[in-house]
Formats: sequence, structure tokens, C-alpha cells
Amino acid sequence: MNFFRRFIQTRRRIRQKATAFSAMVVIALFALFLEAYMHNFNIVYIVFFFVFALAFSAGPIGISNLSDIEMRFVGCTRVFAGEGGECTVTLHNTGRRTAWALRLYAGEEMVEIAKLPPGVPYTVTLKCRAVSRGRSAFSDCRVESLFPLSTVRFILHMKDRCEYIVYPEPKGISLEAYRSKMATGTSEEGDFEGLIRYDGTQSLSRIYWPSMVMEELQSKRFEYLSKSDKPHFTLSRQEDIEKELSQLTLWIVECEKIGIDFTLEMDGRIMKSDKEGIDGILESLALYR
Amino acid sequence: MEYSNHSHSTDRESRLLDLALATVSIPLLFIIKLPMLIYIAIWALFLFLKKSDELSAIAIFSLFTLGSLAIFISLFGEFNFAGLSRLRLYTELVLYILILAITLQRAVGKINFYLVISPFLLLSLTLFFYDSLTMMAYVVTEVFILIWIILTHRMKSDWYESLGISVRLFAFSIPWVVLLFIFFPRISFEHASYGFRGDGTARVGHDGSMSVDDRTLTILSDKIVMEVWFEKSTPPSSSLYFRGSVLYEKRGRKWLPYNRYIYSSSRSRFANPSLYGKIGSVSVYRVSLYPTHKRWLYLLDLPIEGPRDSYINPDFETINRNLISEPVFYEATSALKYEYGEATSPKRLQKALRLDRRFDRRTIQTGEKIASQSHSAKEKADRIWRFFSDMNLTYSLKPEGVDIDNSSDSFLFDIKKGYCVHFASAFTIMARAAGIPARVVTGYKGDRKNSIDRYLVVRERDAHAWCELYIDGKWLRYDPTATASHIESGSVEVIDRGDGVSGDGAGEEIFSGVYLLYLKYKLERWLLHYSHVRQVYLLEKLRKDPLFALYFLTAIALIFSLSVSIAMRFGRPRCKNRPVCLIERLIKRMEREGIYRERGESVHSLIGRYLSRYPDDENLKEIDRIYHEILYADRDIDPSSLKRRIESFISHMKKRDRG
Repeated sequence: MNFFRRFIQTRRRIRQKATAFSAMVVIALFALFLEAYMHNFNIVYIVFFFVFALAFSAGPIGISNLSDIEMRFVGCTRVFAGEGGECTVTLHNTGRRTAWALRLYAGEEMVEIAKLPPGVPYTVTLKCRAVSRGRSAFSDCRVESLFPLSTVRFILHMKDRCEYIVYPEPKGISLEAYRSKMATGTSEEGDFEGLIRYDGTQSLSRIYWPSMVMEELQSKRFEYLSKSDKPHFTLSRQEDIEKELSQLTLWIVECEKIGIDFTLEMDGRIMKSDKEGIDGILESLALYR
Repeated sequence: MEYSNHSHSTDRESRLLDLALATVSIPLLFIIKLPMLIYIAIWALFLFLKKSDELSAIAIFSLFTLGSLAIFISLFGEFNFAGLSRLRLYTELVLYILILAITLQRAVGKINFYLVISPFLLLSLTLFFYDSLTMMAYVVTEVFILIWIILTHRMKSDWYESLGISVRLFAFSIPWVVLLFIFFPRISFEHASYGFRGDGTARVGHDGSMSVDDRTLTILSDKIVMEVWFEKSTPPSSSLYFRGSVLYEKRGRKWLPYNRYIYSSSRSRFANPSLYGKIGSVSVYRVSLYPTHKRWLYLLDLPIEGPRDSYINPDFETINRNLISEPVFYEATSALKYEYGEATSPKRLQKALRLDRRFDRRTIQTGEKIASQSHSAKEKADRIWRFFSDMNLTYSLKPEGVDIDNSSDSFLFDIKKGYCVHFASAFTIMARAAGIPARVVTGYKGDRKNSIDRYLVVRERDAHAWCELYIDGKWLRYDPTATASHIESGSVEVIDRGDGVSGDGAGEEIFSGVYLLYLKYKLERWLLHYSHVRQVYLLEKLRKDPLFALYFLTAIALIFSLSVSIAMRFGRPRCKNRPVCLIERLIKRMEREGIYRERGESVHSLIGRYLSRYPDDENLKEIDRIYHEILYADRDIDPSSLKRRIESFISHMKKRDRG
């Protein structure tokens, strides 16, 4: 009884969609029916009944193939507008039988999983890309399977929404350049302190060109950058807001990179990097209205 | 739809497709003509030898030309406008074109949609050509193999893994197939008569005439001529005379019928009632007659009603309108007790008295002598019978030395050896000489030894000849072969299977052979020839006979449970880690006690929870210890001790439940 109750519950969860092969089955059934009926050919009748019965029996087997699959959207790496990111979905077969011929769809992404043995979690990485900041989601997270006979597409939708946050595109003047400019303006640039790895965010004027001959390109680090005072950023809302958000995002990322704390003032609210965390602050920027 | 369209297929896909094509092609190899077979062989060789996936246009064109030529030669002479209407030829042409298309596409190396469905097309075409139990069994096997191949492709798995699922799927579908086969509404169209019907070899034993010579009887084959199913019960052996043709005239070594041509003015499938008198013991039976390439249908004496498209002539021969070049199935009615002959025309009686006095003089003289000593025709016949019995005749299949011109004299007075033909011929001549109109009847003589239940099998070697004597206005059957005093050793086997006299034989061997034939016949009746009539009969029986209905439902339930158990057996996950599998049994048992393993919970913790309820269970503590030792100890530990402990624990739990 339990089996049937469970089967009916599962059946409700799993959608079934006929494929082109099912059209072929219908045509085959029609042709076989004509041949069998008109000539009373029992061999043809038997093939006809087999085709029908196999197509019929494939349903429960296909449903039970997906019935024990649990999907969870784990989350994504930081996704910046205009840039890509990676999201993770785990699949877990809680049943006792291996699930076969699965395809995980998330938006445009598709990952094929030939078999999913029971009890072993399977992690799938999906690429994501967004144009603008804010909340985004994979349009339709689902597992599909054509198992066993390809005549029906069994679809199991994920309970969770595959949602992730897209941070503003980190764009603008680099923190180093900005602070350098600020320091030059106040004659406070200070002394050249040492070399650090060039990661592309620093101004070209800071590149330590002799390092070109080495394997790693380096840039000069100035004393003012390691000063203990935390940078304080303010969302002024004076210019183009998107541009400003992008600028702030860039500085926040740079601060994280060089390991300095900062504060961000947004609409009178002050957020501290060591308290709210970088992701929290970036989320505030992403969802800023 | 998934297939490697417009791209070169993978080796795996190609292999699977080749396998599917090979599976469905096997029955076709017995049908297709030699030129096509040669073309296929060349194509296979070509595929084997080709080095690159890309194929030049010249190579493709050459294959196409070769294939087209093979089709042309295969159908040369057969194909004309009249031929177009012949379904078999048309199907054959379609088959050849399909083969050509498949081979060309396969040579190109691209698997497209049409190539994917080609095994199914070939399978459906095969169904046009065969109608036998063997083919039915093969088709079911084919369906299974195709499912297995589809699943192997779909699952991208090894053969063993997909086998399990295939068996499950197949097992689930069997009960539905059975139910549909029985209950799917049929209409009463006739069984198709196209296609190759399997064995088309002509059966011998009866050809409408009879040769009396000294040649060894060559009709020794066990080949089945007909299978008979009686509506009520199988009649006694003495009534199992299947009438073929009636012969009046001995010309040289041959006995010939009344008319050279078997056509008759009578065109009715019913015997003319004016030709027979009292009849009794009417028997209705169904006959499966295998190809004889003649027109006679064999009905028991005395035929009353023949099948459609046949007619019964004044000699009670049953003639089919067409040559029997493929198995025919008919129902017939005969009267086993009968009187007939009063309406026999004087012309016919005159012919039944005709003698060629130039030959068989001694036989004729004996007949005349017997006639002079007797008062009535019955007495004459009895005296002739006694004469035959007293002549110490030997039944022999090798009556060497028979004088062809005087075969009866030679048989009766010189070599005293012969088989049914010699007995019947000599008896007829002697009866005629005694003034009794007589004729030879040829056909088959059944024997209840070849019968089970209501089934009777008649083989070539059951071909027989007997006589009919016109006594007191009636034709009476006399089977003079029964007067044989001895049976030659080499002939015992044949006699055991008919021919009118009895001998000792390998009864059990015959019975087992007949039993297999009976099974085959039953299967053919209920599987190959299941029809609207049988369906109605079955439903009626289910309605009227509660015991039968009970048996029927039990059988269906058994099929269902068998299918489910097979599906479960093959659906069970394979145990790869023995201790884990052993502990699974324990966990399941605990679930019955209401202790469920939580997600992520270790076995140790679960056992701990159980022990908190039953703290004195030392066995369980030991199971916990052994299990973890097997899993984590550096040395190998035999899991059998764990198995024993678990079994003992489970049986202890069961006892506790019962207590």
C-alpha cells in the first residue's frame, strides 16, 4: 500500500511530456493494428500488444527513476553584472536503485548525468551570467529523463528557486588610483614601501616595469595604502547611481583583495566590512533601489 | 529526439544499431533472394575493409548500382503489372528497397532518424512473411533484444546493467500482453493467406492413383500430413479411414479413378443425401492439412460436410477448388456409421467389375472358383477374406520380385509379400472375378496410438489403401492388409504407425513424440489461430463454467505474480558491500519495531538507540562490534560471523513478536 501511496505522490511531482518517439509509437501501433486486424495475424497482434504494453509499463519505471531524487540549489560564487559566475546544485539519490539518464537543466545550462547511484551526492556546477545587478535566477531548474524508452520526458522540478544575487559590475577608478590622486592632492602619497603582485586593478603608473623580465608582473606598493585608517565610502547619489554602485563595488573588491577594512555609508546607514561582511555589503549594493 | 544527426556516429551507437539490424535481419535471410544476399555480403565486406569514415561519392554510387542491380535480378521475371497486385511480391520489393537504403546510409556512417527506426521497419516487414510458432517465439525474443539495445543506448551503461531494467520492463508488460491477447476484440476476418507459410514442402503418400510394383515403399517419412482435432472424442482406430481417392481401373501397374479428371458435376460441399442411406455416429473435427500440392482434402469415411471451397463427389471424394500449396485449416463432418451405395449408377458398378483377363489369371480364376462355391455376395467376400488369411501373406515394405504385369498373382501365389497396395489391388481383382463390384480407396489410415485427448496426428507413413465391395446394394469397406499373417521385421515400425495391421512397437516413444506434437498443436490453435470464434468460445466458457473461470483467474493471477516477482528480482539493487548489505536486513527488521534510521545516522548510533530500549541484547552489541571491525579493522575479517549473528538476532526478534 505504501508503495502505491508513494508512487501516486511521486507521480504528482513528476510531469510527463510526450516526445517525438511517442508519436512514432502511435504510428507504429496504428500500422500494426491495421495489419493485425485486417488479416487476423496473431504474431502481429502480439507485437502490437507488446509495443502498447512496453510503452505503458515504461511510465511507472520512468517515474520511479526520478522519484527518489532530491535537488538542492547550494548557491553561487560572486556573480557580478556583465561577468559570469558559477552556481552549484547537488543531486542526491535517496532511493535504493540507481537513477539513469538524467539531464539537469537550469536556464540555458544543461548537464548530463548518465547515472546517479544511490546515497552518493552529486554536485553539478552551472555557469551563470547576468547583465544587470539585482536578484536573478535560473529560469527553470529541473531534472529531466528520457529513461527508459525515450517515449516520455519525465520532468522533476526543483522545489527551491535557483536564485542568486548579481552584484554591480566592478567598474571605475581603482582604489589605488583614487587614493593616490587624493594623496597627491594633499602631498601625502608617502614613500614607496615595496612590491606586490600586479593583479590588473592597479594603475599602470604603479607597475614595476623591471619585473617584466620575471615571471610575475609586480606593482609598487606605497606606504599610504597600508595605513591603518579604514577607507570610508559614501553613496552620494549625485551622479548616475549605477555608475556609482559599480565604483563602490570595485573599491570594495579591492579592499578585500588587499585585506583592509572599510565602511560604507548608504542613505545614512553605515556598514562596516568587518561587521556586515563583504558579501552583505555587496548584496546591499546589488539590491539598492 | 536524440541521435547523431548530421554527424558521424559514435562507435557505440553504430555497434548497437548494427546489433539491432542483425537481430531483425536473421529471419529475412531465409526469405531474400540470392542476388540480394550477395549484395549484403559485398556491403558487409566493404564496411569491414573501409579505412576512413568519409566515403567517396564513387563508392556510394557503386554500392547503389550494385544494390539496384541485385534488386532487379532478384525480381526479374516475377515483376509485371499483374505482379503488382500480389502482396508478397510488393512486400518483397519494399523490403529490398529498404535494405538498399539501410546499407547505403550505414555505409555513409551517419546515423539519422530513418536509420534509427529501420530495425523496426524491418521487423514489421518480417511479419508479412512468416506465420509459425517458431517465428512467434523469435519475434518475442526480438522485441526483448530491441528493448535491451534501446536501454543500453539510453542508459549509456554496460549490458548487464541494462539487462536488469530490460527484464523488469519486459516482465511488467507480459501480463498486459496476455490480457490484451485474450480480450482484445477480434473480428471474424479470415486468417491471412499471404506470405511464406513456413514449411511448403509437398507431403506425399497420396496422389490420386496407385502404383502396384515391386519397388520398396519409400513413404517412410514422419512428416505430418494432417493434424485432426475432434469435437467430441477420437473415434476408434477402426474408424480412422481418411478417404482420399477412389480407383476403379487398373491400367498396367496403375490403378486410376473413374474419371481421369477429378472435376465433378457436383459442386456442393455437402454429400448428396440421395447417395447415402442411414448414417450415425456423426463426428465433427478440425483438420490442419499441410501442403500436398494436390486438391484432395481428407475426410473420415463417410464425408457428409466438407469445408468451404470444396465439394464432395459421388464417390465421396472431397476435392478442394485450389491446389493445397500451403497449410489449410478446415472443419468437416463425417458419419462413422453409414450405409451407402444404393444410388450408385450402373455405369459406375459396371466399371467396378471390369477385369483385364490378360493379366493376373490365377487371381481371377481363384475369384471365379470362390464365386462358384458361394451363394451370396457376402459369402463370396468372406471366402475371399479367408483365402487371403490362409495364404500366409507377409506384410513387407520390400516385396522384391513382384511381376509387374501380374502383380496380384505374383503377390498372392509366388512371393507372398507386399504392402497395403498389393493387398488392396489383389483383393479387388479377386472380388471382381467373383462378381462383386469392387474398387480401391486410397487415403490415410489414422491410429489412436498417434492420438492424445481429442488430437490425432496423421503422417506420410500412414498413407494407406483399402477396398470397397458392393454387397447387397451397399459399399462395404474391406481392409485386406489386416489379413497379413506375418510382418517383416523391417516393416514393424511402419505398421505400428498405421497401415491397418497391428504390430509391436515402441509405444512410449510414439507417445512422447505425439505429446510434443499435441502441445505444438494446442499452442498453434490458441496462439497462432486464436480468433473471434475462439474468443467468443472462451468468454462463453468463462461465463458458464465457474470452475473454468476459477482456473482461468488463477492462471492470470499466477502470470501477474510471476511477472512482478521477476521484475522485483531484477529490480533489486546489486549488493556490492557485503557487510553493509547484511546490516541492511537488520535495519529493515528494526523498522518493523518502529525504530527508523534517521538521515545521516550511523549504524552504531541506531544500534545504541535500540539498545536503550532493550539493554540486555548482547547479540546486538556483538553485531555492532563485528560490523565495525569488518569495516575498519586493518585485517580481513570473514563476514559470515556477522551474517550468523544477524540471522540469530532476527529469528530472536521474530520469536519475541510471536511470544
